Amino acid sequence: MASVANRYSEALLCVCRDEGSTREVDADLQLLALALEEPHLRQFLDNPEVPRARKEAVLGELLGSQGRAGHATTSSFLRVLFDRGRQGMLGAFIAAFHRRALEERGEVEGVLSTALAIPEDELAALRETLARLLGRKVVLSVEQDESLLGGFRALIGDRLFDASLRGQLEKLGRRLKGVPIGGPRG
Amino acid sequence: MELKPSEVTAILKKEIQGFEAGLDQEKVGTVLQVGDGVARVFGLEECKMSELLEFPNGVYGLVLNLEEDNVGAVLLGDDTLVKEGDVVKSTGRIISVPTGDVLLGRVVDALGQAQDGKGAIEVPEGEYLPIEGQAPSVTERQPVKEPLQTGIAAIDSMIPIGRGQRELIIGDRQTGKTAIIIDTIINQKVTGGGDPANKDQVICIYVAVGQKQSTVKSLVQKLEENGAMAYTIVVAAPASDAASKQYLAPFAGAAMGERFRDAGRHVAIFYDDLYKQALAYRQVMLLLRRPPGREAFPGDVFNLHSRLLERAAKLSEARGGGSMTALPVVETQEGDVSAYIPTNVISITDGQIFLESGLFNSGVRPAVNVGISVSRVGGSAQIPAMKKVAGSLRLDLAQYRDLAAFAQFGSDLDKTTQQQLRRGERLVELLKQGQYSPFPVEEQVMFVYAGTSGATDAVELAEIRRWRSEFLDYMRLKKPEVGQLIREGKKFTDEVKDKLDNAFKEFNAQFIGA
Repeated sequence: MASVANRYSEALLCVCRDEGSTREVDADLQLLALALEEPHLRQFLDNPEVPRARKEAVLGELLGSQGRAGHATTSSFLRVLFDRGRQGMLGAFIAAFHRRALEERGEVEGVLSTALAIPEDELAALRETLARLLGRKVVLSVEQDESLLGGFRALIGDRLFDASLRGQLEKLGRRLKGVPIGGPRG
Repeated sequence: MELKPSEVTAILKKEIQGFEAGLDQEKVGTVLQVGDGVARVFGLEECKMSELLEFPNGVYGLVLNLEEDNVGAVLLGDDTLVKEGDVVKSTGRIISVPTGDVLLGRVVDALGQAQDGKGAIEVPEGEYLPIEGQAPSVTERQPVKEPLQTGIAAIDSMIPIGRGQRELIIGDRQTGKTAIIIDTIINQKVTGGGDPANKDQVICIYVAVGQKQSTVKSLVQKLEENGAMAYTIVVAAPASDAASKQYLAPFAGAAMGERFRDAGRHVAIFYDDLYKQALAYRQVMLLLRRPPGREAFPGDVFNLHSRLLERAAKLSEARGGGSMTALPVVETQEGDVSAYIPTNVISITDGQIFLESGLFNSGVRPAVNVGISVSRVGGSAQIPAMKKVAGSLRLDLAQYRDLAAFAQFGSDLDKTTQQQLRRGERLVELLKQGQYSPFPVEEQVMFVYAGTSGATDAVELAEIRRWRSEFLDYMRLKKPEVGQLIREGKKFTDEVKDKLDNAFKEFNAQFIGA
């Protein structure tokens, strides 16, 4: 499944690159992704009794909502998906495309959890530090998590930066319990 | 272990003072799917093969599959403690076990954790070895040349095992496979007095895979009673353990053995048994969706056993001259040696000891079928005296078996045939041996010579075993110099031969006359 999504998103990205429309198409698809979180819409798209024309019309309307028009490439991409009967995998395509689009822009998304609300200047400094560590611009969505007790924890891609009190306590707990299986960190 | 409150406070204080340092950077993934002891993890993009993963609740996993968008891992603990969406941390470590002297006399699991209630096994960082060790290369080896005495006359005389050899013990259930192992471990006491500090002491490692806990317990008890536990490590992955641990246990045992081998010591390692290990491996691999091959075993089951057994070696003098002898066990079903796993392991090892239930039930114990048992390299490791006296043994027994099958049909037999039958019966009887009573090599030489030279031909068949035990007592008490001569000279000189011939004459006069 993942390889199918990868192939479609790669192809779409190539088209966007030539047109210079990556950002617009990505924004369109993100809007669709948001809408797809609604289970009724997913059911509607998956329902074989609903004619294809209606599905396309609804998606077109969604793209055109909020006072903007969907990009032409997005619409053609959706038509290709319907042609191939792959509309059920729309969510996976969007996620795969988004990842590539971010990579192309030299950006990376992450979630920052903090125990207390973080002031704007500290957030900027943190963003800068993380960008230096990762060599990319970091787009952080901030959320508050009191169970961290203190400090912060940032999950960016598959990397976890842990400077929370809870993380430290967990580490201490492990150390007190003794040497972990498989020996000490080599 | 007593814990003083002040110690905890001190550690906590140090930790809290060091808090400033902490921005931990970790590679993480999330659990997509978990069940049946395997997990699929999303993320962990730079994860390595055989890397250890840390799941929540102290469960560890081992990476076995690297796929395009996920990582397949086997769990080395309870899979009910892990749920979908859990965060998985990569540890950057390849799975390793503690090694060294502290393990001697202990019972540990496949990860080197104590299982005998005698306290945690603590070793310094440098003494952890990865369980998938590299086998020594051609230049690091030398031919097998020293004997590993099992103390079992039938094996030491006809199927000799050399240090660094791989000799398979194969047979159906209930044919005495484990009994041979126990006797061999007990017999290693003679090499260094049972003192593991003695450099000559052969270190024994017994790896129990998929066995009953009670079997492992009684084996350990037997070894303790015989004072053999001091130089033995038991790696236990009983039937109740996860399949992943059962498949890893032999590798863990091998890593423990390699430490001693590379330090110039001699190690004998027993894998009991590799058939069950293959079953555990098959289970894990099918759950990870690797394609099944013959008998549903994965395609690399041959490599699984060959890379394990290749780690047994006699090292060159430049590498310290240590050795690791592997005695794997394979259980056959209904004597079928042509099944997949038995043929694989037979082709990997340097020979096999074949045990037969028919022989076992007719009272020939150890139930070694000497006709199809072989040792491909052990001959050069046999002491010259044994080599000389046992030379004709195999032939005599083979002739006896042919004649015995033939003689069942007719009663009129010529004198030579009768003589050969008589000799053969006595040889078979001489090679029978009780459990937990290994014979030193010099005594084996004496009674094997008695059998082949015809000194026992006059003794009644039912009296042979009494003859053997009384004769050995007689030699120990009256003529200890003969035993010493064989033990130290290792050769079967004319002097030894004359002394033994005289002893037979004197003893038989007493024994038969009485």
